[in-house]
Amino acid sequence: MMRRVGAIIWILAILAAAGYLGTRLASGVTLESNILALLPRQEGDAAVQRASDRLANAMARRFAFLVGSHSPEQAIAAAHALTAALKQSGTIASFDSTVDQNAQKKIAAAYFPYRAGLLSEADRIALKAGNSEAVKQRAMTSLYGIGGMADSRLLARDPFLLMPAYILGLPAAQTKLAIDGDVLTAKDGAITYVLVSGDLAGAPYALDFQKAFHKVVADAEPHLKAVAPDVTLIRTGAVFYAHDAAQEALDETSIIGIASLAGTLIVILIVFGGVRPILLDIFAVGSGILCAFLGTLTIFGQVHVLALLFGVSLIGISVDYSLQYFCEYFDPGAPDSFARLRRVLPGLAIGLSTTLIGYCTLLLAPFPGLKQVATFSVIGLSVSCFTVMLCYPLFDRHRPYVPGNRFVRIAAAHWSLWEAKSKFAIGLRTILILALAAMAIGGLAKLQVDDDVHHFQSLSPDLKRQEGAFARLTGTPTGTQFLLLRAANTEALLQQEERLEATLGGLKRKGALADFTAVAQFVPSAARQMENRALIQDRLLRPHLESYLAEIGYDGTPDYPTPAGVLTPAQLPNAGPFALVKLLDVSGPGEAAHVLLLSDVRDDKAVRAAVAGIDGVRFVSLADDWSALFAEYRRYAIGLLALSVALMFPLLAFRYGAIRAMRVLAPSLLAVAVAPLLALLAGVPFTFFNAMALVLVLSVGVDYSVFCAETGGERKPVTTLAIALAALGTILAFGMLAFSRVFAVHAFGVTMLIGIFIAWLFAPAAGDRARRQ
Amino acid sequence: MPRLPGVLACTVLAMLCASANAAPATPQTIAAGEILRGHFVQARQLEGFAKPLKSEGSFTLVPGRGLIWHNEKPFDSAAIITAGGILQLSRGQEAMRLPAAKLPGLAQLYTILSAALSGNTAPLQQAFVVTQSSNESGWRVELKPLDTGKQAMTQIKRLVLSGSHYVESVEVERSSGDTDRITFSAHTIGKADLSADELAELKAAAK
Repeated sequence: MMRRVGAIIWILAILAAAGYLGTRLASGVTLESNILALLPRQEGDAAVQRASDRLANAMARRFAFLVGSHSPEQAIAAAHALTAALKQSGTIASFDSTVDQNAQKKIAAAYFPYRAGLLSEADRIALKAGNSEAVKQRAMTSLYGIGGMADSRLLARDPFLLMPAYILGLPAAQTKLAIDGDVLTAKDGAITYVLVSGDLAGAPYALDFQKAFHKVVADAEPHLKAVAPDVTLIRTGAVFYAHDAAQEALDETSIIGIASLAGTLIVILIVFGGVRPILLDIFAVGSGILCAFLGTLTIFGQVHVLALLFGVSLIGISVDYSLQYFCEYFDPGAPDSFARLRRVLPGLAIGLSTTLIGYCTLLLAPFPGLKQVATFSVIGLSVSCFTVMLCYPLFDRHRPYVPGNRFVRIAAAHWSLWEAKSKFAIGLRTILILALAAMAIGGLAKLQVDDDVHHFQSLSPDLKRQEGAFARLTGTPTGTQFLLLRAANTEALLQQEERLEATLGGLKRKGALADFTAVAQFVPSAARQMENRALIQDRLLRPHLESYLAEIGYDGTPDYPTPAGVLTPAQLPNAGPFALVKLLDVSGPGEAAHVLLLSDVRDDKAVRAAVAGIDGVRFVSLADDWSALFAEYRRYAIGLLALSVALMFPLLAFRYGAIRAMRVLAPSLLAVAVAPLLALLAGVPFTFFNAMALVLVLSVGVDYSVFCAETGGERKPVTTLAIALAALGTILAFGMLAFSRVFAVHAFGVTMLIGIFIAWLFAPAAGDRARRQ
Repeated sequence: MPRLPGVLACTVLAMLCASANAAPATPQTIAAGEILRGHFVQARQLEGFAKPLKSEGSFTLVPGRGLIWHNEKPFDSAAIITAGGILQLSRGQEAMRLPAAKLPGLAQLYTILSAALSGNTAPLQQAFVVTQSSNESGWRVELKPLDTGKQAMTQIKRLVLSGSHYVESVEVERSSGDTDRITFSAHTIGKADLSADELAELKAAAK
């Protein structure tokens, strides 16, 4: 009666959870797909974190298209059509590809009052060298040149035309683009490309936003074709990569999910016969996944696609509990459903405990993403297991054992492999162990550790090609490396940047990097502005202005006032290229900080060496930092593995005694040690993801040993059948991951595949003699 | 307010070439591989200046590659205009480079040049209201910028081109009140006979 009440309460709770999840789903759920979101925050340096965050965020929100056609007019028309479609969709926060006349006016208006302190690099060098003649000559060339490089209004206020030279010297974002009317174009042979770029209004890693944006672009394409029949689109931006990766992950999730569920169900149907076990199994697995999804959503507010991917693979593990139970159909000592449960209960409880220990150590890790995976798994597995324990006896109407099942006979062979005293069995065991050892040694010889984040992302080759074409055609700098500068105030930063310009300029000439962008290139330091004023006054105006004006025949008095203050970055409008200046300012409370962007760093050792030892300057490479993080967490995962063993051991020792506990752990430890070596032999380097897979191999592998340790006598073949089916289910789930295009998932899958196979193969070796007296 | 004056240069250049086709009589076109050379005198009347700024020199138009505008008086300087922008040389040394990427309008130069040379005035009509007239002694084309909202064109108030065979005079009135008057003479069409200096200049400009 109590059991019945417990089961009914449990079922009602599951139904309530299902209903609640339904309402949550109806109101929209954020699925996160940024692989880096799975990573922990970088510890320690808040300024580095802030700078990285701002840059990464800003970069992630960028999108760019090149709309190409053989006809320049059609390309422009198609670009306008695309812009209009994007604008209308509301997915875009702002465009920066249209030449904004107002922005250009704003730029000029911001600088003009301070012109007496602004000098282009060439003019400054000329004046410092005493070569004021060159500056004068340039002005004259402009005055007398074709079409009038200067008009009277400008001349009256900037007699030596220093201002246009300064403006021209400002860094340009995309060096190869040409301004054509109100659009930016690039030529590639006979094809004219028009730039359409800007910032997204939504988070590029949010699946619903990706979908919406992708749909807008897909819907716009026929319109573009109508305008320009030969239109080609080159696209680049995190949103495209993210969409591609998320699509891949979701596709794989559904394929793997369906395949592993279908495979498992077919196995159950064949082995146990009848629809009832299938329905029960679906109920156990389904209740687990449902509650896991809901729990993760409630705790974290969103669900990461990878958590979902790993989570769905749980089908392969949570089904183990059902299999243990169903295998009791073949146990002569378990005539009815309650007897069956009694038989498997200790195994289930210990199996669940060891598995939960494995996953709970993941919770201890400072990985936000893995916490999600762990939470998903702990909830899912617990709920599935409790469903088996509470509900199966109630609904199970299977007839008592009938001897002579062929599956049981086959499974019995697995056990005899480890128990039989025959020469054949001993020989086979020896060969097996030697072969494994030989392969492990082979893997050891190829030992290679890989933490490079570039290898983990498995970016779509097609998108990478487009990104390359985009960078080549537009001259857009690429790279995620920068210098982080810190000082007490902005003026000190600007002066530091001016000193660095010389150093970096030298490195640029040597080819160590393509270019760099600093705030000081947009706004000179106050000290530099004062120095420029003195240069202009002492070396240009005082000695040359009068003779120059007489020479060109100007009658008036130029209006060239000395400004009251100096130009500061804060005075620049947040428009056009100045948006970049605002982005580079990463000052925090009580501290001024600037980012100095480095593009295409080809020799990072040289750059590092050049800035090493400069106080308040730090070389930051996002990709390298992430790689270092992966290395750190790879080591962390191995630590977790050791911790899991340390936590499992007392539990096992409590039930089996210390020596037998070691015997129970041995097959899993063997799998953990050998699986990465065999993966290496197969060409998969050891990464953080392999290490994570090993945590699972241990948790699941120990289950198999525990089930074997808990069995005995006539039940042995029943248990080996159960673990064979369980391993088959797990391999169906994770073996599929080995075929993933995503490197991380692939590495994870291969390790799981090999590890689970070894753990299963050796599991009976933990049996019988380990049984508690 | 600094000007972005390259556009104007382009426009004038475009006129130089376009005028040949705009003539109702026998429009002088330049065949592929041919080069148009000539002499120019430019007088710029700027506000606040007692007398116009006068300069003269020679020009060389190489279709598909660019235009060399060589000032000989009052001092030696040159401007090489290409699809990529304008390179200014002062006494043979690079004085200033105006990339098309930074100056609105410069990029169309190449397009407008080739369009004009092939007798296609459509690109001009996109930016200007074109009024043509002609008599036995010659032709006159007046261009007024369309209100396209493009900054490049707001600097120009009116352009007047005239000539009998080739374009002989270009007058540019600007919104600042400044006026440029350029007169052309001694046109010759030759085969590809660029000097080493000219080739070097074009190469430098294309860099």
